[in-house]
Amino acid sequence: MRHFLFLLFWSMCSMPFFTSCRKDVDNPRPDSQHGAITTLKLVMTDSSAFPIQRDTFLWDDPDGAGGQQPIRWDTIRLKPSRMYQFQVLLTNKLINPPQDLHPLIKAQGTQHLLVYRCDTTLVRITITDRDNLNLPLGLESLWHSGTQVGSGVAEINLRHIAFGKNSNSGVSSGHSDLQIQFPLEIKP
Amino acid sequence: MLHLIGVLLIVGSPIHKTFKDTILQHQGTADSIKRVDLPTVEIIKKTYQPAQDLNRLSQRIAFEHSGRPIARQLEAMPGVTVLSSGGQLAKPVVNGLHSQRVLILQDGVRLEGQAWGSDHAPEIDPFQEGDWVLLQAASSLRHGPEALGGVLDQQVSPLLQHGHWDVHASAVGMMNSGLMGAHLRLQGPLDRNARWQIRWQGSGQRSGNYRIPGTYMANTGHRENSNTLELQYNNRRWMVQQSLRIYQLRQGLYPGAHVENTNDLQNALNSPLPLWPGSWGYQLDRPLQEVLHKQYNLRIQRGHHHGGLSSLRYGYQDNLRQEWDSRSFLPLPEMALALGTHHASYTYTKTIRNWRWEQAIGIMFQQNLNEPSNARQFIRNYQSLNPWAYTLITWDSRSWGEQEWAIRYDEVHFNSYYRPPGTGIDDAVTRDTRDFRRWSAAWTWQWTIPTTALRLRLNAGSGWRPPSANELYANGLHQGMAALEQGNPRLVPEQTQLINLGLEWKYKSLEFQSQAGLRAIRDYIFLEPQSMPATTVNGVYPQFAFVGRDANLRHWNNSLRQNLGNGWKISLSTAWIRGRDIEHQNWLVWMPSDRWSIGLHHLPPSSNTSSRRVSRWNTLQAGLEFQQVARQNRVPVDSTGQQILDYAPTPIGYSLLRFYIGGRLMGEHLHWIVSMENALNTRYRDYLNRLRYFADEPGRNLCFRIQYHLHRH
Repeated sequence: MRHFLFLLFWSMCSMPFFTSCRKDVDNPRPDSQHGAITTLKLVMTDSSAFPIQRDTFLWDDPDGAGGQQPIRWDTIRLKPSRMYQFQVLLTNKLINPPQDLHPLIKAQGTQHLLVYRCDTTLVRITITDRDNLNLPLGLESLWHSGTQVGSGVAEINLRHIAFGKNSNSGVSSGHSDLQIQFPLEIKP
Repeated sequence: MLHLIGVLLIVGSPIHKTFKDTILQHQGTADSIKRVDLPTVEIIKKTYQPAQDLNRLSQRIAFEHSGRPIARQLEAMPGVTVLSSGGQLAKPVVNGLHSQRVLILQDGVRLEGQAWGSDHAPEIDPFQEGDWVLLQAASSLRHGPEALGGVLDQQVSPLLQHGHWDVHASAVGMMNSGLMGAHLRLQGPLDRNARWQIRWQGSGQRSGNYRIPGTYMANTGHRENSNTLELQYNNRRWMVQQSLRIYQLRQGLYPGAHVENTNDLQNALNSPLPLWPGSWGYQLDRPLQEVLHKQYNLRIQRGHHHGGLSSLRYGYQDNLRQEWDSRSFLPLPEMALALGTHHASYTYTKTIRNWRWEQAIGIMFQQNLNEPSNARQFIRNYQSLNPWAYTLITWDSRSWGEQEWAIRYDEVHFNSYYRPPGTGIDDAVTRDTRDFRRWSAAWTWQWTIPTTALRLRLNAGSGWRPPSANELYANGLHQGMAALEQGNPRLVPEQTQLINLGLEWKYKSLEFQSQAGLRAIRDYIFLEPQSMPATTVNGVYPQFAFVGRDANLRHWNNSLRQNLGNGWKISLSTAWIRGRDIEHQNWLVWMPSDRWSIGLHHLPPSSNTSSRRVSRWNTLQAGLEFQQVARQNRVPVDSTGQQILDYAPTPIGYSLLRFYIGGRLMGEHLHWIVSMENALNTRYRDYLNRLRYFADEPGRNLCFRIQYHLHRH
């Protein structure tokens, strides 16, 4: 009996080391996805125009994947025979305050690549920025609009290439972090 | 009583001759020896000797598969298949049911982990010793109202009052994935009269990328560690048992399976070889998952003067799961969940002649917390309180066979807490409360037809399962599944009615067992495709929503064994499962396809039946197994006959060949087995493997296993 009582006592004493209640269950942090992209902003600059022309095109789905459909989806409108500088800005609005993802992607440039796809008779797109391995990154680009008037689609793909990004990496490398098709119009 | 039977079995067992000799030499000195009295022998004799149990996986067979995930080991039972996501991520499917519909017990304690995902394997050490039993009887209601789906129970060997120390060591190596694993068990008394017993088991395993025919699968290695410590005190009346178990898993996930949109998925489907190149190696990178499972159990048992037995149990389990996706920009997991479960129960058992009464009352309290790492909340925070009670009556009648009746009552009080995206920490919490109350009942009847070798077994019952947190509230992308899943807050509990009929026939050296069952489930919860795809930043996704529909499942499992003499034995088993959505007259998705297997085995003659001297040659065992799995043609289709609810057509059927050879050395202390899985290096894909969209199943695998057992007085 003495042994038994000792064991029982020891069990009771040891229990708190293994067990616990979680006090914050009824006070959750707001649902968020770190690193999720909810908003893409394309900042366009036409330095050849006078005065310098600036414009922004937006794709915005502030509640993230699922839930409501995107609340804003702009059409990219360009003039023929022009050269535009484009910059991509990405934001996560699921976090309060919203998180700017641009510096993160730039810092992890050796694992990311923005791939642009569109009808080359409408626009030819050239990536101008480089990652730390001197491979194309794509957050900044030059868009040469064609001479003809027309409309189509410009697709922006952010590929996450966790292993082995190289000069041949393209739209089928790694997997997609972002894929948006903007309507495109070329008209004077 | 258990102890008495145990001691008797050991004394009677020829492999424990040395122990028996010791008892005889010291007759009358130890308490345990005094209690070896003859009436107990009568009880053992009375026990019906059934054919080899169809629903039992003995430790010996488990050793032939040790190092493989538990679900893969359990595949040896007819009706048990595996739902897999590659590597060690495999969970058992019992007659078409899995996850929350199948309970997994370890030494009678329910395993409480994040069981809802198809990529969530049970947190069980694959080296853990003990027979696995598939419980499908009224008594399985002990473990929960959802237990009618089947209960997989690992029956850990009891800590007997031995006066000696046992050392047990085993090791496994696999060529395919470079898996290396080892297990050590120490067990023995802590005091002179062996009332205090202790057992420690520790195991570790690591593997690298596994090989499929033609290439390696990138990032599919794993690390796994487990430690179990058990301490027991036992005197004539009291028994106190404590155990502590800590299990850790770090599992790499094939990055190509984490497709982020349907375009990527289509590219993967069109490629005959995996798009992500792999090579030999042990390195683990994101995506991966990490699991830490801690479990503490306390059992206090007291035998009463009037013959009853009281048992008090307390248990706590802590399950921490982190899922790391490769697409993240930050060194933080995408999902981090902590699930804590307390359970306490009191059971009183009494046997009066051939009646046995068991009454229990208990409570379970569970909390799920999203760890504060800004991770997404696919599963909301919740608290659940589940008081329950049951009565189980067993009647063993000479003329009416063995009867078991069980009735159980459960109440579930469920509260969830959520703050939607974009809100602040000071904003109001969305709280949802649900209460469920239902009865369950079951009846089992086992009857040996007089003067025949036929034994019948009937099992009927009604059980239920409340909807789980993911089925109610999931909202968003299910990582790696390229699908958006929506919970359904209007779901009601699933109600199951089942009837199983079993037949067992022994004729000379032939054993035949068959089991057929029908399960009707009202409001069966599953994911149904939605007509409108969703547009997200990653492109267009198919959407799925949880729905409750009436369904039925039928199964028919058979097993035949024939002794051919001289230790040779032939075995045949078949499994057949059908699942229908009654409301839409459609097949259910993710149901195992038909399969059969045939095996030829040679077992060494057991030493008690053979007077021959044990040499290394007559301990040799060997066998050959052939398994055929048919294509699953019974899949959900739309009104035009096109397959729905799936991204790719079901894979074609396949055949696998396995053989093994083993034996014993060093006076039977050392047991070795060499086996070859998928000996023909067959290229195949299994319908129940999530990786089937991306790659083939593992190729040829040469495995080495050794086991060393020593006991010292």
